[in-house]
Amino acid sequence: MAPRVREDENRSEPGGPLSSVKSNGKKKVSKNTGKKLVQFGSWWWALPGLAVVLAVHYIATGYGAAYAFTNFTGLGDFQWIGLDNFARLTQDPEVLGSISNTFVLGILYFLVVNILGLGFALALNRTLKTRYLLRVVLFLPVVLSSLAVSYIWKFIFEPTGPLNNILASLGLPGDTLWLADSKTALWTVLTVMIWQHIGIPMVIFLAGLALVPQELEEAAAIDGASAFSRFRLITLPLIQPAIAISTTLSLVSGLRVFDQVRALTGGGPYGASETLSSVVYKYTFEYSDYGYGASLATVFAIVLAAAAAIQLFITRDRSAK
Amino acid sequence: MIKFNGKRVISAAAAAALAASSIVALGTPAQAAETITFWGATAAQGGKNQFQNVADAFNASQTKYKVEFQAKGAAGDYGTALSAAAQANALPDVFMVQPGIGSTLSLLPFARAGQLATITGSAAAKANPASEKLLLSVGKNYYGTVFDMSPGGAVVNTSLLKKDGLSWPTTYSGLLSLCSAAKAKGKSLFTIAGSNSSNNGLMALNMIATNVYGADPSWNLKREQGKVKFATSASWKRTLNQVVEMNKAGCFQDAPQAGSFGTINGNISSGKSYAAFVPGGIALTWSKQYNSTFHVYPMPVADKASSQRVMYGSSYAAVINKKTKQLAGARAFLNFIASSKGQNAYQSITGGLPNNGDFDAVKTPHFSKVAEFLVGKKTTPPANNSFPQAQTYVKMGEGIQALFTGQATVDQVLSSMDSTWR
Repeated sequence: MAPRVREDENRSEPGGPLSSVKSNGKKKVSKNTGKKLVQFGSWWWALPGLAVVLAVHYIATGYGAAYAFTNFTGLGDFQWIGLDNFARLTQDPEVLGSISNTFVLGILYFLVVNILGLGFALALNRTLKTRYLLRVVLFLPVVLSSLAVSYIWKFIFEPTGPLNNILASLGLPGDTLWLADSKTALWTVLTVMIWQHIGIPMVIFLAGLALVPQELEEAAAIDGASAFSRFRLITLPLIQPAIAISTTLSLVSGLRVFDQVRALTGGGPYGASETLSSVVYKYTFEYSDYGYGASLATVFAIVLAAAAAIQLFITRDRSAK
Repeated sequence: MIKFNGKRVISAAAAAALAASSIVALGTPAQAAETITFWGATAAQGGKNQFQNVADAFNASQTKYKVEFQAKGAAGDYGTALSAAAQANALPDVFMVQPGIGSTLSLLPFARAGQLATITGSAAAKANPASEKLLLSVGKNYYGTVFDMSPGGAVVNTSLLKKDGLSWPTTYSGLLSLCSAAKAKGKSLFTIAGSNSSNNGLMALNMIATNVYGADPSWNLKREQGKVKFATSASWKRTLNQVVEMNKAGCFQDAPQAGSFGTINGNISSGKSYAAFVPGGIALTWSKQYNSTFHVYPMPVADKASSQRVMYGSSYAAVINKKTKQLAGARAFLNFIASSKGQNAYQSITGGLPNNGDFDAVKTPHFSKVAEFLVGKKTTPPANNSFPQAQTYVKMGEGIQALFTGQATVDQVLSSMDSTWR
């Protein structure tokens, strides 16, 4: 359906279709008001863009997914082997472990980064004098390269690195092998992910909070509503669109984590921090097992799409008709 | 009065110069050199790239062809770049590969896929050692020429060992005793990059050269035929059990599972460790860099010194893209690589031995401790070059880290290696 602009939205805009005013101050209302004047595009205008997206993204992805049904090694001919690759991945302990790690990382990242992001957004929304500086400080890691950040953290997590030295100086155990211990490797990856990306939900929530009328909160406060009640009954419903965006983005980015795993642990020790995206890379590029890698990538894409769809459904705007 | 028109004078002078230069050009036709593109991996130790050095030497030796070298990343990334180029039909005229099979940059998969031009009968093919034939050919056709033939082993700081009154052993029990002695001096015999599967793998390759392939050189062929398995092989179990035992005896630095190449450099340069598993040529670099004498020693894992073997083979080979338009030039370049000039250009950077395996006590003193094995032919080729999948070697390296962390047993590691043999 063609996008339209409501009349009342255009009325105040200079240059809008209904805004031409006679020199005597009386409005000159065109006979053509209504459909044609307020319509600013037709659906077919989007066709070139859609065609490019379809060709570059969906057709290319589908073409790649077709290799999931082959034994292609990256060189020479290949054979169609049906669902063999998919049967193999259900019995591959490395892949099953990576799926489990992917969900653990994705869900915990999704929860922690949104809760902390909302907390920071609320703290830095109003009143605090240094809020602009603190917003910049918290958002700064987002603009850095994930690989660069991960390599810096790798140095921090080294057995004789700054973290262990600080812990030892405080009288705490300073000999933890953060990246080489199967009990801690995954959590170090999660820590770095959260540290670097906490600024994204914070900014999204700050944008949402900017739309919450201060008068509403003040009126509720005068009526005796507690801070928590005001947050639950006024703020949260009004920032619902921001919540939907932030949670969806963070869920998808949590599930597809790759840079941090690759740079910090390489998926180790012995697969303890392997994720779906890292095993896709390993099988495809390190083992030249393109067919199997494609089957893993296909499963990965389905998991991501399903998670995003469920997330969007849960956080959909229920007030919309 | 004669008036000079400036514009006309300049035009006339330009025309005369053009005519003169045309005459000169016609008299001595200058033909541009044909360009040959050449890809290789990035130099591991920084400094000048060995492949670049060979290309420069070739360019200096003649004027008909010009080789343009491009470094395409470290070994792992280089393999990815090669695969991508092969799929995009964008391989260079000549490129570096590893002999054999079992990695993303192995020669045989490219040859079997029809991507390589044969060099059978050329000087480059004839210069290859007989021991490398199966790793460089399909049927009767040769496809690559090797850059080197170098022995492997532990790279040991002999000066430090001597200073501490210690000497390199010839048996496994002697090795464990040396580990204890090193520990008593507050050092570790080895530093290993245990978080890196390739460094664990390199140590294991040096151990299985004696334990597995010394006794049964055709073990991989038997595995291919399904006659043997990793999980049921006594020699493979012995190797991984030795790793566990060595770790318990304090042969490695603290927390070897967390070790990296940075740990190796740090511990070797500071004298906290005596030895590491790195390519043999690095012994020469370290000798100069740390003002000490480093040698390549055989890894003593046999009970009898006479059973000891040394891993010996080529690390890299050069091949020609079958679709090259510069076939004659590419062949000339490969012939140059195989010649003594080409080998010198390569070995002067890597510190390895040339394709004929000639040990030179002056040029390569760091190999003097393994020279008797080369002369006596007590050598076995790198086993991973004939593993059918890259995954097998990676699983071996990752499995050794798991032995350090306690995440897996020897049997589990060997079973996981079996599962990758397809």
